Amino acid sequence: MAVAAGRASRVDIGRTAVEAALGTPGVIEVSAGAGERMHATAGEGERVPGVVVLAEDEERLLVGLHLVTSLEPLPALSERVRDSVLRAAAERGFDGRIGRIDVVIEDIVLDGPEAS
Amino acid sequence: MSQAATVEERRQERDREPRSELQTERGTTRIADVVVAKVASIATREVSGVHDMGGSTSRALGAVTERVGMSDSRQRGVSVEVGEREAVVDLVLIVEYGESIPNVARDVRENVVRRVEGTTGLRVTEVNIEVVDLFFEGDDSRPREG
Repeated sequence: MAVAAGRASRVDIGRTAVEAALGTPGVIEVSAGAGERMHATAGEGERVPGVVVLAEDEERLLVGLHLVTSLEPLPALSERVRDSVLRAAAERGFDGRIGRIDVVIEDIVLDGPEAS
Repeated sequence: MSQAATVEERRQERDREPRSELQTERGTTRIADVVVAKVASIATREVSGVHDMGGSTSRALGAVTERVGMSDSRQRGVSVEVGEREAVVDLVLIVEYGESIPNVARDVRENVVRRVEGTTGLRVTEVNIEVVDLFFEGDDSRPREG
């Protein structure tokens, strides 16, 4: 869904960030924390779990993503998530509003021999 | 030395520190305790001579809570402290009788450091190991004392 850059709300940006993160190989799901309410962006009658969007300065927003991932090198995975989020934001025309993208790896999901 | 100079020196010292791959200009990456604990547990169990992890009480409780889906055996016998750049790992082990405990501890330490640092980007500053029991072949078939 295209969102005009000037009108992009925190909920729009949070939703875009979560969709982009979930489309990144290695990301299993987002984590909203205890009671599904700790890490979420709310507004316009909507709640986007797993992402917090805060003012970084007067122009830009800090995006904080809370993720559950597979077992793999996590700093590299975080960088791929940032690339995905910025690419998706650019497609919607509001990448200029995004400043830092902080990633919290809340848990990992194991498969193969490590799962047992 | 003035206080201002001291603050400036500290800032310069911080700037000289190698930048962690967890803290980049594009944002920070934070690793939750449970992630470090799971990786450390897997790394520990990969080492030959490690029979199990956790003390007898935690294993008995774990057997119950795991059955009802309330806990994960991969966190038993592991506790961690995780900062922005560094982590400390404490392990409680049961070692197979006949193995050299110092050698097992050395191999566990090396593997935990390699796996945790390679997976999370955190620097592991300590791996503390407590060996609480020995496993003898056939121990599983008789009730444990205590």
